[in-house]
Amino acid sequence: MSDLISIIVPVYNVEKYLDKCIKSIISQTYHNLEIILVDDGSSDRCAEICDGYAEKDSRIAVIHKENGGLSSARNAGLKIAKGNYINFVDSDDYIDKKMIDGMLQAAVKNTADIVICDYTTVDEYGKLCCENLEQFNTGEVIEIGKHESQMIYLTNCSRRKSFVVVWNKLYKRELFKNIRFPVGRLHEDEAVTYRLLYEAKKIMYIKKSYYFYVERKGSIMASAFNKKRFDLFDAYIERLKFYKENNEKELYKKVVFLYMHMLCQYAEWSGKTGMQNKGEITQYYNLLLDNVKLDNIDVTIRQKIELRLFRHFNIYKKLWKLKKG
Amino acid sequence: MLVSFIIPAYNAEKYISQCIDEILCINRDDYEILIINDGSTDKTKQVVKSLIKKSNKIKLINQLNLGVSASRNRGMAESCGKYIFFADADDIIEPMHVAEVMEFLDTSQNDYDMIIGNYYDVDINNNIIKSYSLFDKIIDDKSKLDMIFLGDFLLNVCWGKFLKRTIITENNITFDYTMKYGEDTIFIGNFLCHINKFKCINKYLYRYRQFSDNTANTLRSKLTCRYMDETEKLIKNKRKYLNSCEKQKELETAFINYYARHLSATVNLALKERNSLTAETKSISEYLDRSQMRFILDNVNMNYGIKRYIVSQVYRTIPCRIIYIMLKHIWLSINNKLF
Repeated sequence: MSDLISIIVPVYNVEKYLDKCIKSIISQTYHNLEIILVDDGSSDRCAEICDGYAEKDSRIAVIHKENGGLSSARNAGLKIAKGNYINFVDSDDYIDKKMIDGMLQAAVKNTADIVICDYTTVDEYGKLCCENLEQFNTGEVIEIGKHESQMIYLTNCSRRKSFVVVWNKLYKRELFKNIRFPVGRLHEDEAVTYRLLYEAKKIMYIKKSYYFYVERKGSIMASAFNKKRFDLFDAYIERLKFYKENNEKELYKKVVFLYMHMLCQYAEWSGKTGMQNKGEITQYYNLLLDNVKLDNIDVTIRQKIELRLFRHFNIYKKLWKLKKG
Repeated sequence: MLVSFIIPAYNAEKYISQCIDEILCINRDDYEILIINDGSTDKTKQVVKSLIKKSNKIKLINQLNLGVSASRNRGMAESCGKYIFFADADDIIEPMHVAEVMEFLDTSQNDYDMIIGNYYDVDINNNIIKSYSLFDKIIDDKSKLDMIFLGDFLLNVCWGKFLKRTIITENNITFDYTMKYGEDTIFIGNFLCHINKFKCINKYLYRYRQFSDNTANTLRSKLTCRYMDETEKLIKNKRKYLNSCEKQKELETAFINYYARHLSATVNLALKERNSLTAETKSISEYLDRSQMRFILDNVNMNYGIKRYIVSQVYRTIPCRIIYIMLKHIWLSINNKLF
């Protein structure tokens, strides 16, 4: 196999974790890599660390740019990536040394456009954050249909997160022709991954945890609830429009209900943290009602009732809480 | 020579090359890998010989089948590194972290007698199932180390640790080859008596492979009442260790509670084994009647594990298992655990 694989690593103020991340990439069993480290205007020693590695390994290219956020860093990497396949690794995580080899073999053997692998959540010391169930680590490679790949995140499947994050996947470079990460927005994975999965002609899923997702206290998603988190709903609206254009009625319906569910969840969270994001919640509530026309889509009676009830948000919220238990 | 990796191998052709390859990932010149081929009948010898061609850090020692203790003793005798690191042939080390520890030992001003770290349980395909962290227990002085050794299972094994060779050789510490179980715990116990300076680091150094079909069998066979002599030796050895410690009172409580749990787990497991009912009953009573086991049961704190203590005592006097189960149900319902 002589395919060049581009690995894009957006780096921002992670000097404590960066060494482990880069070391896990350069010690991959598959050697034909193009490693792109995008230093997004780090104020700590990350820039020096990246340059240091670039001097020692000719496969590493470093981009120093002004701070623009995660999406702009990934886009900058995509701009110069030359590989046939692209993979993203977050700079505070690390990967198993056989990850690229395993995923590329599955890609080539099955002529797949996207290969997805599973991930293990650890803390910054390597301790497992939750038990790694054996049934999800059989090493089996299965094909995921187009519709299924969209549905998995919208259902309650236990590995659904594997289908929305950006970094546990090997993508064919052509898929990124018209797709870029939305700059300045949170939840960029929600906005992009489903489109890539929709573009792909064949998707394979490997039931093995090659990627180690490090849950650390200072990361974006772990920090206190703030306004930027509402970008999720912008992503959902885009997704609704996308499904409407492509005539995907069932998926459209699923996203609507997911939207309503997440709005209630956000209302609960902002209530708990004491930050009354009432403005945002009303805004996005109205946005959904404006954008959604469910008249000509098949809904069960129960769902019809749910949608009617949603217009009286306070009542809907209380019932949702009861249902959650 | 800084570190000697000592790996006893018996019929390990399937996993030994992965084990050795991971160690060879360490990009240093100051270690050796000693494989002791304990009279394997499969291709272990050939696999190792082919790996020797790749790197001269590997040394193969062949012997007749004498058991894992004799293999480890032989390995210690033939090694020359300042530190010894035991590994099993079907397990895997974490090369990046082990290399970091070696760098630390090489450059440190202090002379450490032992370095211990965390480890993972992995399945046959090297997927991480569970993580065990010693660092969480905040082991920074000897008394905390004693507490873990006496009151927990985390220090019962000899692998995954850097042990200073001079302590082993000067005090003539070897593995007891008459024991089929627990010989490594006694080795560690004897080792810990003589250490002075040690460090517990928060890195995962070792991956312990669990064989899902065999784990139940090996665990069962290890915990059943067949290993009466070994268990007695273990308790005796740990009590001797206890006497050499400071803060004896709280250590003694922790130790007795731990072994009371161990004994009750053993009894539970033995009950699950569907062998001849009467034979099992007899061996369980015999097991609990040994002097060391009696010592544990007699001294367990009545407030802790009172349920287990009483049940085990009751069981010893009533030979019928059905009545035992009935009593257990009654007890649990009294405690409102069933409803």
